[in-house]
Amino acid sequence: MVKTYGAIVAVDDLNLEIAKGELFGCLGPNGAGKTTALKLSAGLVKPTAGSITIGGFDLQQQPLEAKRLIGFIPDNPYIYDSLTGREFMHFCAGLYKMNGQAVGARVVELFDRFQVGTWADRRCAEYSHGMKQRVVMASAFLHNPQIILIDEPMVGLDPAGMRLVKRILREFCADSGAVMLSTHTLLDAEELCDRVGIIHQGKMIACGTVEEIKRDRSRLEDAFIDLTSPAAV
Amino acid sequence: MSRFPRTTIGWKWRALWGAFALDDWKVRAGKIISLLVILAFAVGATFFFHSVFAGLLKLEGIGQPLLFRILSISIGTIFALLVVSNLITGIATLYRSPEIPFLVARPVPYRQLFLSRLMDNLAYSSWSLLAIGVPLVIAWGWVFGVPFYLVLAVAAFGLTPLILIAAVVGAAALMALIWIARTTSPSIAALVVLFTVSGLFGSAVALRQRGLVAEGAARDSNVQRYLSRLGRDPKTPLLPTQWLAGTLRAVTQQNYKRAAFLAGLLTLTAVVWLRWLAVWAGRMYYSSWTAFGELSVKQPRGAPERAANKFSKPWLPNPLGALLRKDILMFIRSPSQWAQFLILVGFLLIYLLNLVYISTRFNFDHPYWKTMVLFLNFAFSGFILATLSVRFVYPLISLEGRGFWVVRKSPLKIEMLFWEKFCLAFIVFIALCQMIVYFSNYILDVNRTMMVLTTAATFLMGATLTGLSIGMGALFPDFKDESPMRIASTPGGVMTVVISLIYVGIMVALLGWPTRGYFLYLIGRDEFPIRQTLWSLAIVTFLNGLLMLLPMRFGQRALANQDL
Repeated sequence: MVKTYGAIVAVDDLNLEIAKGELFGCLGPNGAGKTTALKLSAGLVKPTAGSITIGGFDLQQQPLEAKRLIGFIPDNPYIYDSLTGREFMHFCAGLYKMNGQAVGARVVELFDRFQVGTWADRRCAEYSHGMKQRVVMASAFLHNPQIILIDEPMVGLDPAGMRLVKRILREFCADSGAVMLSTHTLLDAEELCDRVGIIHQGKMIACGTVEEIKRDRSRLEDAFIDLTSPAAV
Repeated sequence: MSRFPRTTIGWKWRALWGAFALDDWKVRAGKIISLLVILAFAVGATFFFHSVFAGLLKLEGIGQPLLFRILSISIGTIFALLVVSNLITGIATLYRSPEIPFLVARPVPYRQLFLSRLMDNLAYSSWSLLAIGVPLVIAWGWVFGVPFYLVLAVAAFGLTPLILIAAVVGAAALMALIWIARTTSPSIAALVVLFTVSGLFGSAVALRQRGLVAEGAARDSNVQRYLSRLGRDPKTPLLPTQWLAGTLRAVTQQNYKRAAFLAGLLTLTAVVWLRWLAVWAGRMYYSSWTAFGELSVKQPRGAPERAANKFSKPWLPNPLGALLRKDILMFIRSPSQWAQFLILVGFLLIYLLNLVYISTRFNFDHPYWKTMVLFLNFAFSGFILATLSVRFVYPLISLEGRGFWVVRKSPLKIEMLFWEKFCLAFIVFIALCQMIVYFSNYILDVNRTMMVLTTAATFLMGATLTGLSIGMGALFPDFKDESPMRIASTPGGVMTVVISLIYVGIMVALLGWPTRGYFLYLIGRDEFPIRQTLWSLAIVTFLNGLLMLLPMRFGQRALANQDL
């Protein structure tokens, strides 16, 4: 897929396939095109060229079918400040045409899982960044998606929250879900991802398992710096 | 740092130009067209006011006093709207703007920080009303042959100080309300607003009633009584709006000493009040801003679990039910939204009261006057619809805000979002406007044919204006701003006002055409106007279809293709 903004090429001929049960990490310097790639995959940005297929559905031709399979978590968890966390979850359930008492039970289950606790019935305006992140993550899992797209999952979370999210993502993949995440934290990528791709200036310059990317280097950080340094480019 | 307000205004100007330079040609063309439309509107408004004033001056004896009464009422209305507008926009500009924490963390004196925010507030809340105020003053100068330099002087030393005074009053009232809310509770502050508005409304009614009784006893003829009222000095000489009206009257009468005195009084008042507010803000603004932050956190603890569960037991099928419930909850929980709505409803009540007053004191039995007042009332209802639709419907798409990604990532057709907004706005508007039309028609005692015609036309206008505002709101969305009033004041919003007002004018003319024939048929001078009626119906259908569906279609397409 390709995405341009006037003369600026944000994503340049990116070709990627993520299998069921796989956790794929997008790495790259600031402004490399990671967020754009995730937004393209979630249908929030329209590609200039190319196509995106989610679970066999073309995102441009069959957007509703494809979006039913996606759970998207942006880097800035903007949600409606005047709703409570629980109201927000029920609102999201409504968007996926989920009705009935099962929704309430599912919301309780997810809030327990993401440890939202007593914040559930407070207005989102009162939430910290981390609490908003937890509610948005819970909402992404609400409709049992097959793929989770997540931008900077650890930003704003406390250490316990980070551990919780890592566990949930791994469990999701073990349950044959697929995850595509973008992160700056190379340690998280090393710990979590089955495969990683390094995006630089919109292009995928390296893709493989962490070991394949590292090659003979001891740390992923060294490989990342080498690959994205001006000399290498 | 003493140059701070100038520095920040300079940077904002550069940022505006910078954004314009970065826009692609479509957005740039859109902005230029918006500006041209606003300019064309101002020119059109000048010609319109001029023709109204010239028409009035032809009425011997009554013309000039009536003209100055209309000018005085217009200036008073603009001033009241400006104060309300400054107060409501101030919540976003003076307290909620993300610029404030950034600037508070820098060594900027609070007084200067406040002044820079006040200038922002002034620009946001006043510029669209200025597009009416300036043509009004130019039309006045034109019709009386006042030299251009004097018109400029009146604009500079009459209109500008009045706008400044409104900004100062609005900001001071807002700061005082926040102080009351902090020292007592937000509910007490809300009660203070309610009592103040009721008090002002009540005293205006009482003043009018007292005057009428006294004059009614003294004279027999309604016309005589009305003429004598027009020529008198105002009952409220301490109001700045009367000073501007007095300036215009004095310049017309070539009483330049009095004009200079009144304009000087206005300018001096504006300068002194601004200075006082700046000194007060230097001491109070920071604590007021922090208090506002604390009040926002102290808001009610949200709804219980069973209320949230209602989302999943929709009275309408999801996702429509979920979208509607979300929008209703957000409206109810946004005091600035319903406060604005209540203020506009208050203005409508004042209008109905005026109508009762006029109809009980003047004889409208003659079909000509009855039809004339009926159409004026119909035009006013259209004007109200246009204003309400831009204030409340135009921002609906933008108010999805930065949370719009939640809707866009879900399996929801964008058409659904549009129709949800349309239904919500349309039901509220139609209920309100049909109420005005019904009560005003009842007060004016119109016949059944005209009742059906105005009811149907208002219904159609409501649907078209709602569709137009939603479509335009989607064509020019601003997801970054949280203030509906500021969103409505963007060039896209003003362009929507202009198109809406032109549309209302055309609708009134289109319906007036066969009605005139019908009136002649009623008094036996002509046949039933079947040809005019059919033509009028065809053009009305075409115009409404075009203005309702096209913006909706273009808006849907633009929103579906917009990158978030």
